[in-house]
Amino acid sequence: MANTYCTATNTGKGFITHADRNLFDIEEHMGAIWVVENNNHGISWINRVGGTAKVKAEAQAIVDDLIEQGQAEWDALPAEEKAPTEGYERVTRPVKYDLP
Amino acid sequence: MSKYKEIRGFKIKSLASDPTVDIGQTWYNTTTNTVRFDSVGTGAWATGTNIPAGRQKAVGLGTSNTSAIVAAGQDPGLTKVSETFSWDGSSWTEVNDWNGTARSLLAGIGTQTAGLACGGNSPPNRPNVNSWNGTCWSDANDLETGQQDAMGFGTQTAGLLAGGGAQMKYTQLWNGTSWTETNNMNTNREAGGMAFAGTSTATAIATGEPDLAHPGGGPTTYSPNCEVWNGTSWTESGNLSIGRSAPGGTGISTQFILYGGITKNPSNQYILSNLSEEFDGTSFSATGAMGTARQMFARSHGTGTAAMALAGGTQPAPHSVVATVEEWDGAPAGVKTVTVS
Repeated sequence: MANTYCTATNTGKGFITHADRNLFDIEEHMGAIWVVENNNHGISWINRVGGTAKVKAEAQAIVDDLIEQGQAEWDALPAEEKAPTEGYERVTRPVKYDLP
Repeated sequence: MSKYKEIRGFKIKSLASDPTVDIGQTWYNTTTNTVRFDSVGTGAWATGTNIPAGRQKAVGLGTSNTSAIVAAGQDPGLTKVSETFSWDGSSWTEVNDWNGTARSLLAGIGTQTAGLACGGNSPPNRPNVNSWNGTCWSDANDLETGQQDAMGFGTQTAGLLAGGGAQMKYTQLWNGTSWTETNNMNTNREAGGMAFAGTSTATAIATGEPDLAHPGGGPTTYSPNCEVWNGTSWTESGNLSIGRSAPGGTGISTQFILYGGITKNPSNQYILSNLSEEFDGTSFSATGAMGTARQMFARSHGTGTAAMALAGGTQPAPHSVVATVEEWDGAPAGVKTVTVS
């Protein structure tokens, strides 16, 4: 499945409809990056929500930058805040990954 | 060269009644004169109306996608808060504040007009229980032991609380007035998904981590194990496809949707999930994925065919708490008729 990429602000109800989900795959990544199945329906959705098209490398760079910021923020935390003080926090150092 | 099957198509069986079927099987019902097939669920998530403020580890109440309460938990600054938001099917309204100890990781039981917020962490683990009457919160009798990240089921007058961060197999019954211990779970569980049953004596299902008491970090993998409550005791059931922690869950034990949460990849790194799985009473299968991967939802609810995923935490950590809402519209798996017109 080929994907296309954009940035768009999730405006809530109607931003992605159930009908949309039956026509194309879509998932959000940090930085309001949306990975959209590259078919006519997906492209129409990007136009409908006023998305700004990105090539994969641009989208990946946005995600990478935010992860690096998160890693720096995490590294700057005192040790006691990194420890699972509230039960097990499940808030962990962000990890870089490749967009699909 | 054309082949016979390309010209004439495939034959299907003609049967007087619907057979015991496998997903994908198709037949002609000679009694109803219809083509029938056994479908997979075709549910999907769509974006909903966001909560007025980001929340994670909040309590959620409600048993449909047209009514819900989100209260307490943490805001994007990770401060424990007291606000309560009410959903009427079209908009969110801030209503009377939480009047108890500010807590996160609470378990919710009940509906938008009659519910309980149980336990949580302030820290430490708290036994506090607060009762919601549709207008305001009041104190109710405490749990037998302080619990965080437990799973709540049932109603305000017949509730069940299972697992959690202090006594991880512990199961407590609520009779509308007080808590009593009942048959415990088979496996330690915390931060699980759960299905809301009609009452504490109806069936329910719970997933969750086997053991979170790990100094300095989490387990190397998350357990995919699940248990089903039959009104009296817990038994093992079919496993999740992907073990995970802090997912959302909704439905009943024969039609249950589990979504989101956090998993670990083969490199032992934490990965947020947007994947959903559907339980049919016996086993789990993959169904429509969420748009936004999240964990630590406000645990509200709905049915296996109409539900909401409320707020939660995303990446990058540690301060990525969102107000995002997604609505589930699930078409249950089962025998369907092919419409020909």
